[in-house]
Amino acid sequence: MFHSTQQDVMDPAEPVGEELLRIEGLKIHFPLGRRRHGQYAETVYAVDGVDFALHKGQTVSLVGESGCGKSTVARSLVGLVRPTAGSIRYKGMDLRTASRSQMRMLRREVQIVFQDPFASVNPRMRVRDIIEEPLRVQGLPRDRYVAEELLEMVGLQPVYANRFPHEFSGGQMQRIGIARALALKPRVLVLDEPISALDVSIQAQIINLLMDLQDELGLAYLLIAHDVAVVRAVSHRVLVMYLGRIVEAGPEVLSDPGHPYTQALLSAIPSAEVGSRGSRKEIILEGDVPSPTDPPSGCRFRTRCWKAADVCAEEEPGLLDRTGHGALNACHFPAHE
Amino acid sequence: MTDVTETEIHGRPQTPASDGCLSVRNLTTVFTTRRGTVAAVTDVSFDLRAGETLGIVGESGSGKSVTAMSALGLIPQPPGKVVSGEIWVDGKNLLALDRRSLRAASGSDVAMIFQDPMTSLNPVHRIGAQIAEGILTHQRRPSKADREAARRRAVELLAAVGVPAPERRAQQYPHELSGGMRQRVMIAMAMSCDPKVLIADEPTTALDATIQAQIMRLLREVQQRTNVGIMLITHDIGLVAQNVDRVLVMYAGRVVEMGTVEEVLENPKHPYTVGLLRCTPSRLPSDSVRRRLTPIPGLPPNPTDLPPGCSFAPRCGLRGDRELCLLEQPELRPAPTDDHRSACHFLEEVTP
Ligand SMILES: Nc1ncnc2c1ncn2[C@@H]1O[C@H](COP(=O)(O)OP(=O)(O)OP(=O)(O)O)[C@@H](O)[C@H]1O
Ligand code: SF4
Ligand SMILES: [Mg+2]
Repeated sequence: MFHSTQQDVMDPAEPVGEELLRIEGLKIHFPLGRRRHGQYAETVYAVDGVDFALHKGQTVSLVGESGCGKSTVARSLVGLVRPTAGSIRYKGMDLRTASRSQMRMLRREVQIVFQDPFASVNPRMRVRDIIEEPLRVQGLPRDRYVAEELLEMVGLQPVYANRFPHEFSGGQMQRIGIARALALKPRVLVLDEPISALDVSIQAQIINLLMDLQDELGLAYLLIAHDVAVVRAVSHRVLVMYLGRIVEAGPEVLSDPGHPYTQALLSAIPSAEVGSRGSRKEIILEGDVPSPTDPPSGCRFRTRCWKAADVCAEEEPGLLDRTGHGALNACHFPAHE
Repeated sequence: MTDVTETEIHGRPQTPASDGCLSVRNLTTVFTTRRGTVAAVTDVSFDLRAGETLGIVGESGSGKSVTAMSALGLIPQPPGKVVSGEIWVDGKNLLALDRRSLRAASGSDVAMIFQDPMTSLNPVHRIGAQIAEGILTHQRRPSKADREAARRRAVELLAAVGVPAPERRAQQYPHELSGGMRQRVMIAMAMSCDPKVLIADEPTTALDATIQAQIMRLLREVQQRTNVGIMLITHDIGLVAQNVDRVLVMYAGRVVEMGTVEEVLENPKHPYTVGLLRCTPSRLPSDSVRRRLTPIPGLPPNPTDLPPGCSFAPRCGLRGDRELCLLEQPELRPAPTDDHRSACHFLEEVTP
C-alpha cells in the first residue's frame, strides 16, 4: 500500500532511478535521566514513525524546525544512532540482519556531510590525509593521486592536498568535506545542513556543485536544510517533519502546501520581493513547538493549529493521499479538499 | 539634510542630520591581529531616523557587527580601535565622550539585541531580577521603593513583549525559556530604558522560521509604540525586503550601496548587490522545477590584505579588463539621486 503511494507521487517527468534506501516505521527514542523501577523519567520521542525511500540520482529533502528529528533520521542512516523500532533497508538488505560484509558495504556506500566543515576534521591533518582517512579506516587501497582527483572533482586545486584546514574558508572546507565523503565512492549522501554555515554567495556555489555531482555520479541525496527556497530549487521530493513525524510529503509541497504546518512554515519565510510587502497573507503561529518528551495526543500540530477540532486531539491523522493530488498529507482537514 | 549630503560629497562632514536619531560619519575601525591589520570598517557614514528601520546586509566579515559595536562603544580595545569618525546620538558625539559618559549614553540611548540571547543573559539570575537591574543601573542610589518599582516594571515589560504569564516567567532562569522567549526577554531589557536606537544584530538567525516571524512582528509593534529607530543587521534578503525602510550593503568593510529598500532591491546599482540578489534562492520563481543557482564566483577578499582599488574587482562580472577598478577606490556617489548611492566606477552600466 505504501509502496504504491510512494510511486504515484513521484514526478512522472523524472524517471525514478533504482531504489537504494527504504526506511519504514522508523522510531528513535532517547531515554532521559536515571532509570528507576525499570523506567526512565522521560523519553524524547525524537523520531516517531517515519517512512520514505531514496532513489538513485534523486534528492529527497527533509524540512522542519529545530528539534523535529531531521538530524536524528540522518544520523540513523549512517549508523550514528540506533533505531528503537522500524527498518532501514539498503538495496533490500535489512540493517538489523545484515552480515558483517554487507554492513561494511553499507558503511562505504552511505556517507554523511555535516554542517560545520571544521568541526568534523582534525586541524592538524593535511587535506590529503583528511580526504584519504575514510579509505584508511576501511582498510582500502589508496591510489597515489586519489586526493588530487577528488579535489578537482569538487572544484578545488589539486595542490591544496598539502595544505591545512586553517588555510581555507568555510566554503572551501565544505568542498573538502564533500571530497572526503566521495572518497569511498558512495551511492547515497546524507547532507545535514551542508550550507547553513556559509554565506549566500557561497551557498549557491556548493548547491550547484552538489547538483553537478549528482548528475555525474547518480548519487541519491537526503538533504536536510532549513532554507525552503534552496530545498524547493533542488529537491525531487520533500518531506515536512513536525515533532518526530512526517506531516506532508510530495514533489511540490513547498509550492502548493496542503498541511496547515507547511502553510505556516512557508508563510513565515519572508519573501525577498519588496513588491509583496504587506500584500501576502501572513500566518503567524502562536507559541513554541511542544516538547518531544510529551507530544500532544492525536495530531501533534493541533496545539498551534488554527483549524484544530475535537477529532484532532482524539485521532492521529495518518500520512495519506487525501486529495488525490498525489501528495501525502497527515491532516484531518487538508487544504484543497 | 541637504548640508549633510554636501559635506559628505566633500568628504569632511561635520554636522549630523538634524532629523537623524543616529548619525554615523566616516567611521573607520581596525583590528590589530597576528596576521596584520584588519580594516574591519572603513569610512562608513549613514543616518538612521526615528521610527525608521535601516537594514545592513553583507557577507560574513563585511563589517556589519563592527559598525554596530562601534556605535555602542563596545569595540574591545585592544585589539580593536576606532581610528576615526563620529557617531552622533541625540546631539552627542559618542566617540568624543569619555568612557563613563559613553557607558551611560550607550546604555540609555542605544540598546542592542544579539543573535544569541544567552551571551547577554546571566544564567544564574532570574529573568525579572535581570531586567530590574538594568532599569536600576541608571539610578544613583535606588531606594527600596525604586527597587520595588523596577520589579513591577520588569513584569510589565515582559507582558509588553508578549511573554505569557509574565509574573511566573519573571521568576524563571534563562535556561528554562525557549530561544524565542529569551529573545523576547532581550527585547524587553533593551527597551527598558526607552532607547532612541535599537541595534538588532541577526536577532532571528538562531530561531526557527515560525518563531522568527513572531519576533519580527514584535519588533514592528515595539517600533510603532516607541518610535525607536531600528538598525537590523542580517544576511537574509527576505527579512530586509519585508521589514526595512532603507538598506546599506557592505562589502569588505565599506558601504558599497545604500538607498531605499525598493531602490536597492529592485534597481540595484552595484555589481555585488546584483550578485547577492541573484544568488538568493528565494528570488527564484516558486514553481518546483529543479534549477541551478547563480553564485557569485570566487571568495570574499582577505580582510588583512584587501586588493587595491575596488575590493569587489576580483569577483566582479562588470569590470571586464578595465584597469580603473584595480587602481582607484570607487567612492559612493549618487545612483543617480542622493537617496540611492553606489560605490562602483561603472554604476551607470549596472543592470539588475
Ligand atoms: N575581536 C576581533 N579581533 C580581530 N578581528 C576582528 C574582531 N572582531 C571583528 N574582527 C574582524 O573585523 C571584520 C568585520 O567583522 P564583523 O564581525 O563586523 O563582520 P560581520 O559583517 O558582522 O560578519 P558576520 O556576518 O559573520 O556576523 C572581520 O574581518 C573580522 O574578522
Ligand atoms: S568598481 Fe569596477 S570592479 Fe568594482 S564593482 Fe564597479 S565595475 Fe566592478
Ligand atoms: Mg556579525
